[in-house]
Amino acid sequence: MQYLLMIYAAESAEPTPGSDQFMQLIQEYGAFTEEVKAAGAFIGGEPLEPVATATTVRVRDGESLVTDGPFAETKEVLGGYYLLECENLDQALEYAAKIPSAKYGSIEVRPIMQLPG
Amino acid sequence: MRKPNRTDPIEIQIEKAVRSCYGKILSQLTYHFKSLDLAEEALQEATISAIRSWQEQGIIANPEGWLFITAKRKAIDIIRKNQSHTKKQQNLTQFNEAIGNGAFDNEDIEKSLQDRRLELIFTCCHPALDTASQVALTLNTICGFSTDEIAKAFLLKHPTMAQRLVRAKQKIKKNNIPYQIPQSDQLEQRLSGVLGVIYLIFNEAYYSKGSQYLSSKPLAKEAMHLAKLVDQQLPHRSELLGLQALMAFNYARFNARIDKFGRSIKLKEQNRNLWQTKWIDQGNYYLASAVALRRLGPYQIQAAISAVHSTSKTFEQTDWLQIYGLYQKLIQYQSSPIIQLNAAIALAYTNKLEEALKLIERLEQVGQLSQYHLLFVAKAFCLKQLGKVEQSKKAMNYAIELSDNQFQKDYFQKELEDWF
Repeated sequence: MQYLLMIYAAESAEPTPGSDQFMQLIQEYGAFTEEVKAAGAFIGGEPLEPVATATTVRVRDGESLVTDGPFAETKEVLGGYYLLECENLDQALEYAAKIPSAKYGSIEVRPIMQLPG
Repeated sequence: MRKPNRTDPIEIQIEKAVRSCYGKILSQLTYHFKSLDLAEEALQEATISAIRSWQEQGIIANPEGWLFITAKRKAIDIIRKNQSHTKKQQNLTQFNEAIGNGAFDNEDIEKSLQDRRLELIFTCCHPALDTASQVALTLNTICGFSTDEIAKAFLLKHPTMAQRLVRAKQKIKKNNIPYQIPQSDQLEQRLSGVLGVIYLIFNEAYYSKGSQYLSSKPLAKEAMHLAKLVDQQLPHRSELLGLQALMAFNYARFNARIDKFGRSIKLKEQNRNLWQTKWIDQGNYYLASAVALRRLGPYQIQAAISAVHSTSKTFEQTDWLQIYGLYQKLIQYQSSPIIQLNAAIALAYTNKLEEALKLIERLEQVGQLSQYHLLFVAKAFCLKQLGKVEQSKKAMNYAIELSDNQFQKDYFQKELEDWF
């Protein structure tokens, strides 16, 4: 079964690029990705650019409405994801707890909907 | 609801027979078919067959075995109807391998009916589900209570409870929450969740106004039974034993804690001759077993407090200093304002009134309990003992004002008249 592990964290809580902590974080992410790949669980996973680069689209009455944002610098924002194949929720939760950002942010785990047919 | 004068003894017998093994069979089917939905549907159909067949012939010698085999057949029928689902087909193969295709003699049934309730308990109490759902699910699947019974016990409307159960079962299904005992690194934390659910069920029976519908004693017994079930498979867990002790001590007071109008009687006013020694002994046994493991925790401390009360001949003869010490310990684990208030009250009974009053006044200022009637009763007691009559009266009158039921208001009023 597939689960999407969404990585939420306040951008202000993340280490500055170039700092030692940042390098360590990158290494930890590398190790985690290696682990899920070796276990055959990895389907996909990428970090996202900061929320300041976000653009939002809504279609209302057939009209496409494009706005900048959302801006939520103080709140936890989506910063990346992993799509994993896991045996069950417990295994997915175990992986989620190993994602480096879980130490200062949070990981939302959602099952991928199984469409009929 | 069963109508009066139409109670058929055989129907009740069948209902009892089914309920006594419901959770065990449901867990077994769920574990092997890896689907709670399928297990419930199959067991439901088997129950209907049982009612039909036993009404004519009477209940057979091994109703559990009969129900299990019939439910298994029903489950296989259901799977065959949906043969396109290859996953279910795989499960069927697994299941047949596990229990043997023909498995109808008693020995095989016995073997295949290995208890899987603990696995399902851990599913029902999974932290991915909210606490209210955990409680409802456990009562529904493991204890075999109907939606209606659970709704009544929790003073909720039937549709609300039905929706809660459906949503929880959907979440289990969609997330593929496993039917298994958690791995050792997770076990401690998950077990503590299970204990919380068991204690909630017990407290619901013990304190709730709604529990009269389910008859609160059987519900309390069910909670104790659940604890025993967990203990059978996970023995020597200090907090589990502590919880068992705590429930036993409380259960001992069951008959003494409610008057003939169904109103609760305070510990101080209870007729201690009504306390059941059998359960106090049981509590002491559990507590001793727990403490011997040398891993202290909040359930054990609460049980120890209960043990002091249970072994005191009168309210006045209670060893309040020891109780105060135990509350101080409890605060290290869970520091709620209520526990701090209880600690202050115990301190007041040891005659350290100034100190107790200071603690109570601090709690009053902090906020959470600033409108809590029992805080002002405690405050009034301290002030009375210190000879501050007017202040004491004022505090007691405020407690009466804050109290939300007339019986309690009358009780405090009477206390006030006795004092002055």
